[in-house]
Amino acid sequence: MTEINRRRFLGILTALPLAPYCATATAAAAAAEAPRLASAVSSDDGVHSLLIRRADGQTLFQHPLPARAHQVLVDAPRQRLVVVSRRPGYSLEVIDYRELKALKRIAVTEGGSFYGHAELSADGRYLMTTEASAADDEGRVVFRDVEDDYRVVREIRSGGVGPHELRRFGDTLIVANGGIRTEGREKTNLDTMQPSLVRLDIASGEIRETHRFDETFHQASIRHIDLTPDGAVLVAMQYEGTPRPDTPLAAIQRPGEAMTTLPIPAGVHAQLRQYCGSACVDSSGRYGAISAPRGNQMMFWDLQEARYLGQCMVLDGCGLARGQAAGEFYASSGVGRVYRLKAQTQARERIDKTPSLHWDNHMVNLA
Amino acid sequence: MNIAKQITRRVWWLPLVMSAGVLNAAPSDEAWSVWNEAAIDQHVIPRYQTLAEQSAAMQSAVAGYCKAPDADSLSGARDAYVEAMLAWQGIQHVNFGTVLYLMRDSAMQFWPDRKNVGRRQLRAALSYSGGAYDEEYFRDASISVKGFPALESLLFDEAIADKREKFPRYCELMTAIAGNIAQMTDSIAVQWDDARSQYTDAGHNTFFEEPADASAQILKSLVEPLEVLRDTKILRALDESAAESNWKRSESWRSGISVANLSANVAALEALYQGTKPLSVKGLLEAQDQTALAVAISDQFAQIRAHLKTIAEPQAGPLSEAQWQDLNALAGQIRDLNEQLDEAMLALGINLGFNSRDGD
Repeated sequence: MTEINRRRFLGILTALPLAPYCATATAAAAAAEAPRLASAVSSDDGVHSLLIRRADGQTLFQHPLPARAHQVLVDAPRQRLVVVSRRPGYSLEVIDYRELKALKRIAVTEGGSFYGHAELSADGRYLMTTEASAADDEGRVVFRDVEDDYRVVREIRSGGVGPHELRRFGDTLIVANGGIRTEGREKTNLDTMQPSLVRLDIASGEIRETHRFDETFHQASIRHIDLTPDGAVLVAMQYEGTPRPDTPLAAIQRPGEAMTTLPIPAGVHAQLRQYCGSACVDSSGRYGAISAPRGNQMMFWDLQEARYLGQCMVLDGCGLARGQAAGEFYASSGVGRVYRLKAQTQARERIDKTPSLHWDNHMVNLA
Repeated sequence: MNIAKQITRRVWWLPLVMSAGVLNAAPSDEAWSVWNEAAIDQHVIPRYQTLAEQSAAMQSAVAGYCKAPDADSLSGARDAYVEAMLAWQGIQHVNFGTVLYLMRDSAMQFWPDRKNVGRRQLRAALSYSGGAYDEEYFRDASISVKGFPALESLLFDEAIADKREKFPRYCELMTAIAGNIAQMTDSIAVQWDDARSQYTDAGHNTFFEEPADASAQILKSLVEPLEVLRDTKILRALDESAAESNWKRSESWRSGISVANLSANVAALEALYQGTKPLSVKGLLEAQDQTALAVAISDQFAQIRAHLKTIAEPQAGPLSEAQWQDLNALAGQIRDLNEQLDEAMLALGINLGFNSRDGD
């Protein structure tokens, strides 16, 4: 079946959820087994696209993008995805993942650029993105009204330079301010960078908490985060200074408490090349995973006990999405593979291999 | 099991790889397994053994100078440094395996040192009053004082005799760093005994799912260093013009072997490309019906090697216009080789990485 035909066929299936014949029932059962994963991908010849693909390797939708993209945000009530272009990014792509069609391309406001990540307000009304401002070095969180054609309605300060991933917890917005000032993709302030993890009051824009490491580690760029159900933040970092064996690369920060590093055994830490890619908390909220694509490792922790569980090797692996079961994760790689991983045992099961598909840094499970 | 036996054990299937039946398909698992074994046993491990031997010799020579400092013992120590450094240049491209343990890859040679961390740390080390420069000292020390650049700046200091007077622990530190290099290189070599099977048994262990996955890691060490050679080792010193250039930004200007380093690097990559038996990267390409590309890469290596022979080590400071043009042309040749090898990786179905090379 060609991609187009398959897409149409699936479109029909999703339009008739209760269709009472066998084929539908079989397809539905298969769907339950293989969740849909969404990610930015690139091809060997440098074409960038959004990909929606079943975990077992069946492509449902592939949509070309104007540039390399980073996070894919799920707007579940509207069955939409917002694909954020990679920093310095200039557009967002809105996709209907039920109908499998592109809805809209949103250009960044003049003078600004996207940092690659987005989040939704509690009521789903506002899309929030980390962006650079033409006015000064400090990052911004820009609010767009989803109900009003994604019109920009508000802008607040992110509390630091180079904000990257952001997550909402209740009425609080948590922003990873990477600390790095850039011109294009060139880093221009590594000697003086001051990354921070900030908890902001969304309504007022006021900063409630700012977390930093000791000055010794001011070059640990706080970039990627995920949340547990009780608002603890799992943090993945990239160290920009002189390599050393004790640089913070993974951390946890619970509401109102200091940010503390998560243990990584010395032998593993030495292989990571001071670089972690994605952070992901599992469906139970107990287990955390962080990818290290330069060290080809996926690491796991019991977050309740802040205990290191182990790692498994995934070549060029970066994208992480939670699975259904406790401790279960999906991982994608730049060399075209998708795996199901188990935090408790560090078991690795390869479920897809298409070498020409370079899965980009982040992946999300649409279930 | 010795290497000859391992090769004999595998050699039966060789005609399969070379036969017309597999032309234009990616090399088989078996072919990659044989190549992995050849690359590790004939290239990686022997070069680390050479490095360990040269480093041990360097340690003795530096200790000898410190025991009886005179012109002869100094030149002996400096010569030994050059031999050990060139042995390191012959395996510096390998960015996998035991060199990564305990961050030895950075510790062996922290370079380029853009913020002059080494100079600061070395001064602190010279006035250190907390006991011997022993294993514990090096475990906690900055990586900038653990390896070759730190030793070079002590050993090749033009006023070394005055410095020994000025800093009572000068010689002690110099010997200790040489000893640390010897110890690290010995461990890197010895630990390959255990690490070897991760690569040679790829596809049958928990590290690599397929033999080609291990091959991709090894091949990264063939292709990716070319960018370092061009951008970091050459163009960084060249800057935008001869007037803005400064050979003090080259890798080993103090010891005067920055060009020799490049020759050692290119020779090492050439050996990894075509020096392994019974299979080489070149042979694998030819078996893919890519003979023209395979030969063009060999020719490019030969041309770069020949060009390097004609380049004399520049003096520290700005380059002449002729030197600048010559080195710039060399950088262009290396860029072309890089592109050819990228093409070769595509032809071999090898993906060197995406997220690991350019992520956010």
